[in-house]
Amino acid sequence: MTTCPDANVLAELADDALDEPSRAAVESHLDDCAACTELVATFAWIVAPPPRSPPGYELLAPLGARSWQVGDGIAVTYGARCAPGLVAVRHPNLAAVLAVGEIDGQPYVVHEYFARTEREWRDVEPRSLDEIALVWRGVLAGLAALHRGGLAHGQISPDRVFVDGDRVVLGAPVTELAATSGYLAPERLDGASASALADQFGVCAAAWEALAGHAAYSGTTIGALLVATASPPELPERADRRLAVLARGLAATPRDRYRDVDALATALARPRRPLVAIALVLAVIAATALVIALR
Amino acid sequence: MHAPSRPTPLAYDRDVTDELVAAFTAVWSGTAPPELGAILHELCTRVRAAHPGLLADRELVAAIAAHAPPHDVVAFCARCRAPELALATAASRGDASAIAELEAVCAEIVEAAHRRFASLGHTADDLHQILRAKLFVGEPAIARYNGQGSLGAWLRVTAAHLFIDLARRKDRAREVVADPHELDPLGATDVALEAIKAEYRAAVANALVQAARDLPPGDRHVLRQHLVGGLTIDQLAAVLGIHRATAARRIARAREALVARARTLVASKLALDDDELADLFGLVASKLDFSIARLLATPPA
Repeated sequence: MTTCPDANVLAELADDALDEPSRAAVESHLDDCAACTELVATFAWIVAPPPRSPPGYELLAPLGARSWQVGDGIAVTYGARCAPGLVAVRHPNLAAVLAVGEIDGQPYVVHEYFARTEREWRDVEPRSLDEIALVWRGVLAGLAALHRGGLAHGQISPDRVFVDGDRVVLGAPVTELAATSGYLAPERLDGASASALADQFGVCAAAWEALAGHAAYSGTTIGALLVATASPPELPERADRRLAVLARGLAATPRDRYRDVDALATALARPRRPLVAIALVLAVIAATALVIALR
Repeated sequence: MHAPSRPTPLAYDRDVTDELVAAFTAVWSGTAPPELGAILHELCTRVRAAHPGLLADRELVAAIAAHAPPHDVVAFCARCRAPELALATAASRGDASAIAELEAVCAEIVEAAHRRFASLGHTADDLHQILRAKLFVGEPAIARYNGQGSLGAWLRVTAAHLFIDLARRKDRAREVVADPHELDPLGATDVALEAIKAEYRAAVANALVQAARDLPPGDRHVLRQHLVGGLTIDQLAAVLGIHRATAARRIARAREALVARARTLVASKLALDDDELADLFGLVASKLDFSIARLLATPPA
């Protein structure tokens, strides 16, 4: 291995003062030198110190560009904001927001995080429609808790739903994340802000994808999606009953959707009861016959 | 001593430039090119403007000569950050005003560094004392600055080196043994690999390791610093002297190249059709950062 670059060479590297061959030689040395890797990391820390950790937490490992792990399943995301009321909303099906604040002028959110999305959970092995529906009823329970707290989520997508062991969790709505347009209600594509009814649309679009096996809407531009979401997705032949329920939640006009996600959850859970319907028809016929007979 | 092969600009006094070249060659062994006198004169003028009365011309020239390579001396002098080298040279000779100016930079450095080295049990004041002693006392380290990169970057690298050494000595005293599980690329906590069927797991892990080795020079370092060290794009751009967009592109490209290469390697090892391969790498790619971080965590010794 080549000799380690000294402080003069690393300073030149940082100032882009090295000629190309020298730069290539230094960078290639850095590839395989543990000591220099540590030196460069410390140098970077001194040049541009990372944000301080939130009070009571310690940055353990990076999870992405702006997130650090601060505990078991707990992360801090810098540059992120969320509704202050979110800290008070606790539900097993909703990723908990443990703290929000600001450090050195930068907002942060401390939140639970999960590794496996619902999509990945389905990819690992085939899941039955009942299993998938059960997961999404969990999501609806978490979302309902959020709505009861007077908050809207605004960013529901399959990538924000996690299945971690036995736990189904809806990711916390943290504003640093962009909403995914394929799951946005038409009124939001049109510029409206997040709402419970728009969340209902989002969760139905995501659940549709899980149950039907393909996205409810496709389209790469807002215009195309506005056209696509103007009517609910077409039900496949011999579609699962639950897709029809989701289709109502995907109504283009918010007031045509279910009153709230609890009503949606009830509709999803209602088992098929053909006998009840037949009994009802028979009762009507019998009653009519009785009326005629008594006349 | 050397007759210039082309006319010296009128602004330069021939006696003065000859004197500077003489001071240079007293320290540096080589044949002075004809333009050297004019270049040295220009550097001295810049230093006098930036720091009036800080350092005599002859002393500055001697300091440049002390660091100059035997060849390409003109390019070396042309790149010289003379005012910063003058400050460092004066500080190395105990000049109080130069030391005071550099101590202000040291204070900034310590302010940034002391959180990282909090485990050392040193206060910021302690670290400042240690850094000051290293730079200005005894055989002052500041004399090693060669004026080619910025003095600010040099001071920060030197401080980083010093604090790492301190931490290492403390670690050795404690005889800290690394947790071997942490170094296991197939460890149980790897989310991406965990999602893969056991029979493919080793092949994928090995392919990722091999693919990392095949990355273009420097990319493994960049990816490791980003994913393992948690360096942000901005930090990487700062220490590598590249634009932040370049840093971001480089990370993205390295990550893609790594997956593509690993995929090719796995395809050549396992009999999988395209769909299966796509599934396998879809799983890996979505959580790849965790895997790469683990695989890159320990650079080969």
